[in-house]
Amino acid sequence: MKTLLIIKANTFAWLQAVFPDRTPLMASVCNKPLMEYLLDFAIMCGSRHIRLATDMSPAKVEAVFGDGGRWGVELTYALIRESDDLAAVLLKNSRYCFGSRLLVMEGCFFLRYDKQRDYASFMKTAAPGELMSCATGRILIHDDTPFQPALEADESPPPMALTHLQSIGDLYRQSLRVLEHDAHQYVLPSYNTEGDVYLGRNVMIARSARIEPPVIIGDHVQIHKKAVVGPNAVIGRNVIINAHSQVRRSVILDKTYVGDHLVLDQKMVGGCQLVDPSKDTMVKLEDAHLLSSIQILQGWERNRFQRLGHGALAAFLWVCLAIPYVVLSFALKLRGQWRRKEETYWANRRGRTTRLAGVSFNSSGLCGRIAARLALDRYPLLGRVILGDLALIGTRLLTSTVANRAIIEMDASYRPGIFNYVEAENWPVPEPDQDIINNFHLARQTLFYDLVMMAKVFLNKLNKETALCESISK
Amino acid sequence: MRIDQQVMNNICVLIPRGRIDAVSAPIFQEQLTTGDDDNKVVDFSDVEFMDSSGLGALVASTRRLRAQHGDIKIACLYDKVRRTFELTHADRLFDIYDDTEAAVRSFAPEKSE
Repeated sequence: MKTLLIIKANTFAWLQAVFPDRTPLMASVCNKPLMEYLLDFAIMCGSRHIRLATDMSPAKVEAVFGDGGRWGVELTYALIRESDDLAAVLLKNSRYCFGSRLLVMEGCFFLRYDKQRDYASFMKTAAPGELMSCATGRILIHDDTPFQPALEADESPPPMALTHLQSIGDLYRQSLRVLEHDAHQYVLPSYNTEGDVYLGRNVMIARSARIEPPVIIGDHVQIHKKAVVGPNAVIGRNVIINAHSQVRRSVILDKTYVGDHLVLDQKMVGGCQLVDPSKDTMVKLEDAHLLSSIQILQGWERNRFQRLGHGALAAFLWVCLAIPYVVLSFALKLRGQWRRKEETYWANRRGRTTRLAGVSFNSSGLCGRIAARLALDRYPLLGRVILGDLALIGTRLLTSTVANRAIIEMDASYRPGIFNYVEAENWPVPEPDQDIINNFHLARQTLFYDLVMMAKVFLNKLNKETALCESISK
Repeated sequence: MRIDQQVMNNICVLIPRGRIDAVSAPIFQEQLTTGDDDNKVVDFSDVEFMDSSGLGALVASTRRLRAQHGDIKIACLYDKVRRTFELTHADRLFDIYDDTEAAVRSFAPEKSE
């Protein structure tokens, strides 16, 4: 038997609306990703080949689950589109699905099962078709081989049920339900278990702090003096609970700081967002001393050496282009062809904005053409690269609109640069496709790579302007 | 890079082999956009590597064929090249099949219209 998991982004829209920075595919119940419950269930059903078909980037899932070797299965990934129905997904994966009994789990739900029961025999003999469904998903058996009914059909199926997940409240209730009543039915992630206390790795608990079961605490958690955690608390990974705080009947998501003397009861918290699951209302706290995200710097923000390299090259360009900038800006200003423009842009993925003052000019005259060749429209922004606010070359700068924020949240790789990689390409790329090309280069970037790309940008500018001049002279 | 061509159920199947890079991308783009058929399948099973030029050629050709009510479908995308599609989010633009015949079959309803 093989298993096909079909998970689409739109089924997690409720999670994205409240916690846009969380990866939907890694949404978890009791610190265990929903997908891992499905993986465990598929293995219990006798699957040795499991495929995840999704319209989201499976990169983060792949980083955790890899090729499935840790579970003793072969886990593969397939890319589908939001509009694909089941028939289209099966067609897209026809080589994988062909000639085998297939367990299909489609949608966003919590699957209740019992790790001590035998599901493999039931799955072998169950008739093809839908096994069960809920408002947000279903499980079915697809079989293109002739079906032979079981001889002993009187055996009752092992317990399994789907619980729909369509709000933060559902996720919260499911987490606490598993913790309070059903923990023995699943393999929950813990390094050490004592009674109803599940502890992750590298957990620091102050001597005066109190833990009241049932509680599950993830890896790398600090609980400071006189804090009270539990009963019924789910603490994610990389969480700090400061002194004298109380967390009960609550779920704290990964990378969250809980300030001192804070009482959290029946709440769900992720970063600075506080959700009341009973009403599905969310409050964003501005005071970082109360609640905040623990930022783990990645990529560009973490790589100081690369930022220094970009800054140094920007300083070099700033010095080299200073005289042309002063002379040409003066000449273009006299002709009224030089305009200043200011706009606010998204500075990083975390929602910080920055106001940038650039210039624009008419590049039809001789001065304008030279200024365009030397990319003088970017000259005022070089200072921001030297300060480390922006990259010299990266993705295109997006203005601070809600639509662009959505683009940034979908793309894991937003590194705004005053030049972008598309400018180094040999042919023009239409705007909607520019992000594809920029993402390609961003995945490969090193300091040396960026230097080469910058050289290509300037060569391209020179060639384009030369071609323009030639066409004008003809 | 070498590009083989096959016709399956009246659909042109292009099978590039080797590397699609800045040198071979123009040839790749030409092959994608020439011919009478506006529906094409690209079988990537023998592509070792594709860079931004190849991706740009594929995206530009797809836009062009779609404007003519055609399409390009991708088949047999494995590991390295699949990651390129994922990283760049080009997967949102294409229908990707794990089997060439299935990709060809997916054009069938359009053909019969």
